[in-house]
Amino acid sequence: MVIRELYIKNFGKFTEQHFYLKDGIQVICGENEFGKSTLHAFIRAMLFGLERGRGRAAAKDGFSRHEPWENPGYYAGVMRFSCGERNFRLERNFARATRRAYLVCEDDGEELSVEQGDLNMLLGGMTPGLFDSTVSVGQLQTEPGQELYEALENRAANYFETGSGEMDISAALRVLREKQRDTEKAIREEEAAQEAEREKLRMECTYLERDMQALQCEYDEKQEQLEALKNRKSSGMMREETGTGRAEAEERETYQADEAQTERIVSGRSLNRMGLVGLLAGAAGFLWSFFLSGADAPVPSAPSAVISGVIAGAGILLLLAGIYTRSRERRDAGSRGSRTRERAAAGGPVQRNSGREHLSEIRSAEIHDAEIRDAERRIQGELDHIRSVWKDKEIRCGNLREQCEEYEPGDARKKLGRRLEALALAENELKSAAREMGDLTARTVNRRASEIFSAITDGAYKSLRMDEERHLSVWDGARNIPAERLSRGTIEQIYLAVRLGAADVLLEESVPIILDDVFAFYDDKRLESALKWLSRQGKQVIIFTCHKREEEIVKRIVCS
Amino acid sequence: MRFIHIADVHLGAQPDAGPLYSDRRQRELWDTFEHVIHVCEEEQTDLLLIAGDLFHRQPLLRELKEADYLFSGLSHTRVVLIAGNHDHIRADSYYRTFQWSPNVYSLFGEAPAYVDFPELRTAVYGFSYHSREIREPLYDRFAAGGAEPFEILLAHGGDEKHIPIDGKALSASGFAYIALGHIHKPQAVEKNRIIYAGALEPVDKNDTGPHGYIRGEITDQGVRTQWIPCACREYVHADLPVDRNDTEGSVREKIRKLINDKENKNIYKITLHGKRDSDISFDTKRMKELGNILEVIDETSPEYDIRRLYEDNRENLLGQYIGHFAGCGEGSVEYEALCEGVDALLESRG
Repeated sequence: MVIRELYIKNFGKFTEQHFYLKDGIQVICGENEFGKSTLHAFIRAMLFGLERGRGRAAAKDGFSRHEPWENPGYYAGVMRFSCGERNFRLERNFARATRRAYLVCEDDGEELSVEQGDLNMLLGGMTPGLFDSTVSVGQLQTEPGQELYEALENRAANYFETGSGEMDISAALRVLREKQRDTEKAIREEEAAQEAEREKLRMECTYLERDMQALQCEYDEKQEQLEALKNRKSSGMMREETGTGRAEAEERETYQADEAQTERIVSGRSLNRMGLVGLLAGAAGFLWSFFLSGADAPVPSAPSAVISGVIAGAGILLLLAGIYTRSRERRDAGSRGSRTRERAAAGGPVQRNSGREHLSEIRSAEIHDAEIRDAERRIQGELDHIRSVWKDKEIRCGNLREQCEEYEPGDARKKLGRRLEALALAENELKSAAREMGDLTARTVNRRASEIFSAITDGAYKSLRMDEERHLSVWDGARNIPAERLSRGTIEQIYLAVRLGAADVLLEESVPIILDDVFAFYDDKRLESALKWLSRQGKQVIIFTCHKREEEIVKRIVCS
Repeated sequence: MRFIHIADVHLGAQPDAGPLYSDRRQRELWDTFEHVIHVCEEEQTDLLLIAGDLFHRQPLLRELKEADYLFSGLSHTRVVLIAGNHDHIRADSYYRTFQWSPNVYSLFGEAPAYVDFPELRTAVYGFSYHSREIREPLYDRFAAGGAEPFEILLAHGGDEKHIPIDGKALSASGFAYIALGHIHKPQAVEKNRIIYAGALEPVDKNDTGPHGYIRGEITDQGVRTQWIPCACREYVHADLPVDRNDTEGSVREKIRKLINDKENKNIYKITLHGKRDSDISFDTKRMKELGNILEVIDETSPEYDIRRLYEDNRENLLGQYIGHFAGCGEGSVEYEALCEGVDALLESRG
């Protein structure tokens, strides 16, 4: 790309000015305030536009800095340039309200679109940042910026790229990582689905186990019932074995009938009680009759006294009869007690009240035992049933557990695992390939920068090296010297060499080299070497300076 | 003497059967088993030989009752069975206590025994698994005892963990016929003589191909056998070729056609093979929903001319990357990684 003409309509201090440029090296020499830096800024603004900053930054940005001094609403310019044998005219209007860019091929009148990236294509994809950090060197801004290093890293992958578009290493890595995440997610889903199935089996197992536990409880209960039944049966049997037998029971029954008889005759004790009551009632009646007559006659009232006397007499009689009966009863009881004791000694159970019931008990015991046997049989049947149900559940449970253990990942899951492995491998290999390419790029940049630096210093230094940490050092044939130990002028030369070396590596299109007052620290010898080298590059080189010596040297070089 | 030999019926299994048949697949195993019993009855087969794994796991009592009910309906056929590794005889196995119908003879002992059928001039030998695995080659030393003119061995196993079987030793064992079970793929170790009937119905998604039973006859002239397919479904592992003109839609169409071609009765695992357009990717999960498909595996790789890409990009990252995978074969993890990386790099290109 060669810039042919800069037509500044209204930009900074310039209005309606034409600057004509030629291919190869040229010097634009002017005193301070001439507007060299404005021209430099104009070229940049024509190539990349002039964006208005926002907020406070806006006050100091390029847009404000170069806003026309007069008539700021009219803020525009034209640049004519040739590129690949074709001539173009680029017109820009920077003013906010009327901002637009217009690119046309002057050879055939074809209109191109800046918005669509046609200009970008002509520039070989160069970004403003890259422009600033390589070919465009401003006053006191020789040191390559961060942008350069990043561009070198990013472009490492694409340096020799010949096809369309550029590969973006970080985007590619991002794609791979995204795919890994997706795959991991798919694996998790797959596993969750399988786990859900297993969980279902485990739940079923748990239910079965719970059932089995309940069955066990039921079984134990029934077992106890059965034990109890057996005990009852065995105690019944004991009674039959050791009991008095039917005859004795019958005897006991007669005896008990006897006793009932005695019970029916008025007992001595009750006679006593009745006598006592009669006596008391008689005494009370006598007193009552005495009380009735009390006031008018000292002698008690005859009829009531007689009645009371009769009652009391009857009471005394009854009491006597009672005392007699009771003493007889006591005697009887004594002899009956000894009889019972005898019977007890003979081995019969001392069950005074069981008598007649005992017989019926024994009769019903026979029925009862049959019932117990039935119950036993029934419970045993139930127990067997429980056990078989339990066993069935146990086997089902075991089968389920087996099934649960047998789950293994399907082919789809295996495939996903393999894909994940492949993606991780791809990421690793891509990183290492990028590192290698980075090394390769760094080597290329170093080689190119070394050539330039060696030319500028007239061979005083053999090579220049930029390491991974971006430390610069030079090799003078005997020693490796860190850049910071060198003189200001040499450091400036190292920077220029690195920038131009990187430009060779990074820029596809040959772009004009613009050097704005960069030679201030150069001695004449090195300046001449540098200008000689620049003139040999077959590129457009625009040098802005306020010194005459550059112009003179260039004239000399061009003439020779 | 005419017999039918079945093996690996795996009653009670719940085979993977895809969305259409999963529910009834378990029932189908019983149906096919019942079908074989009917065949025995119709043909008045003399012996039904069951070479192990009648049940998939420990049989439940009701399952045994079901099976025995079917056996009891046989008016002529006698049934001889052994237990295999799946339904091995555990301490609490119902096999130990179950009362079979009189026409059912079980060889459930751990030690070899035989059942004698003098009227058939036949004796059937065998023993059962009492543990899940038996690593000793127990059949290698097994020889016909000479109890009857026709002697049959019921055997189960044939892999490392389940009684390794030596074909030569079996061949020399003197049995007229050896009914093998355990290996699900029907195959003959020795023609007409030592035969794996194969699973009656395919039980696992890897039991591909047709399945059925062996019908045979032993006469003084020798044994003749015939393999009869009867399974109601097949597992089909179908390889579907894909090329650069295929899209998701066209592959779906191909799958649909493939499934319908075979009346949609089978259960599929479909593997996509070949080179796809590098811009296309397949949603296998969605493809799976097209029919009775267990899995769709995408083994395709994007259609990159790797060599050409390498030549064209020798000096940039792409070439450098491809160079890292020099010599890896298609289908390997490395090749997949190569394709993924190339894909990512090309995609990152503006």
